[in-house]
Amino acid sequence: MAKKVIGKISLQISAGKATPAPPVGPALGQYGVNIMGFCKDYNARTADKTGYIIPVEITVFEDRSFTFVLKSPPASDLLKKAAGVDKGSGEPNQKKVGKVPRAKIIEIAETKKDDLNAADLDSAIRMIEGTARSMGLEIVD
Amino acid sequence: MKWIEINVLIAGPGVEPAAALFHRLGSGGVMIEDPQLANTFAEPVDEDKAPRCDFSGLGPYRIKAYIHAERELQEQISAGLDEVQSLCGCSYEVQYNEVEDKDWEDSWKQYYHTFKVGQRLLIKPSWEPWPAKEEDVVIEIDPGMAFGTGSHASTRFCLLLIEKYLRGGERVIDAGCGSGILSLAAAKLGAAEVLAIDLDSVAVKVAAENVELNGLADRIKVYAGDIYTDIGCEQADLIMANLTADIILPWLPAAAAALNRSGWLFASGIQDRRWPEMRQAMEQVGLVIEEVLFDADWVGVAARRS
Repeated sequence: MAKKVIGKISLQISAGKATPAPPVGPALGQYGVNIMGFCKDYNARTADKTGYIIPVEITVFEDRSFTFVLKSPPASDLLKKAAGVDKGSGEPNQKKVGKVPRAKIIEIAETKKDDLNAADLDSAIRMIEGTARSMGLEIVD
Repeated sequence: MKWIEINVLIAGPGVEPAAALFHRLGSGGVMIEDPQLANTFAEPVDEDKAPRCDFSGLGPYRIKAYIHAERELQEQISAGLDEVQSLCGCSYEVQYNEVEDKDWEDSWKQYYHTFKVGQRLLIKPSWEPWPAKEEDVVIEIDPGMAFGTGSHASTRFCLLLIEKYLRGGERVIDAGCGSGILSLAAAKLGAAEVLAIDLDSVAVKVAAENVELNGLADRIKVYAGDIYTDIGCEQADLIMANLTADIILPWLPAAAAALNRSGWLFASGIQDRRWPEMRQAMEQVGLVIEEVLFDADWVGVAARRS
């Protein structure tokens, strides 16, 4: 018999560095999940991806056990790497911090398409473009 | 500790950029929710019918980020969200709430109950009354925010190995003791002396409290320290390391050197894909693999110095 699911939790946290502090604590706490147990599992599975934010989707069962799947890094992380910058801009409208070729945007949209569940590649591209602009990255042809 | 919970309701295209804003402000991560999805789980759903998290629609979706209460970032957050709004063409609502660690850190306790591991070990939450039988070896525990409730496969492996191989009178090192659960099991099953060490000050405090709770302060010493640097001159009949492959691998030569002749190393918290590498590294430092336990994707191992 299939196990009963009581909730799904989606988090964006740093690989190998989960702690019981927020957002992990409150997110899992509200479902009664053992917070430290999750941290240990997540950190063990993401230890080789340190430096990236690795989103995770956690499925919580009725007995408070859980499973999780890891996703690809958020678009902002991939865009930073593509533009060779450490940080996005605090004032993306006024201050541009870097440039990303359109080809890279399409590449990232393709990588992220399944995770974003985008209807098609075009809508995935639009989402990635939005993220790039909001970080103060200029899109160049 | 007090935190400001920033609760943002924003349309789909704004989710990634808004999350990126909080990462940039050092929130340590974000949680993303689909309020519609939460409704589907009002009643438990069969696993194969449970929908995935999907934030690509119009939304609105909810992002929760947390910042230490003393950091004054509201202006930066509002400005950042305004930028996201104008760039992505999606409106947002934001609320700020003050929350505290205690609001969530005990919530799992209502689902943590007394259970048995192996033949005799009974793991009993300190707040739960339980009529133990005479043959039970009862470990009272309040893990707090330290790892080690006994329910995780990696901890259970170590408990099983302790029950199976401990003969009594041993000197034991618990490397990365967490809640202290393994030290307690070892002492209750006859270890003469246990050194429990952890890097994390929360774990050290919790472990010391659990040692007191079980009346074992005369045999278990808990201290804050780093396994790489702080057990160099100790010798032990058993070292327990419920850690991860990445921590254990570079430390194996030192661990092997700290073992007495025929001493045991119980290593756990190893992902199964790391096991071949671990086995090889153990053999290289002269450890003989005596028993390997598998469960889902975890491996626990009992090795002995030759």
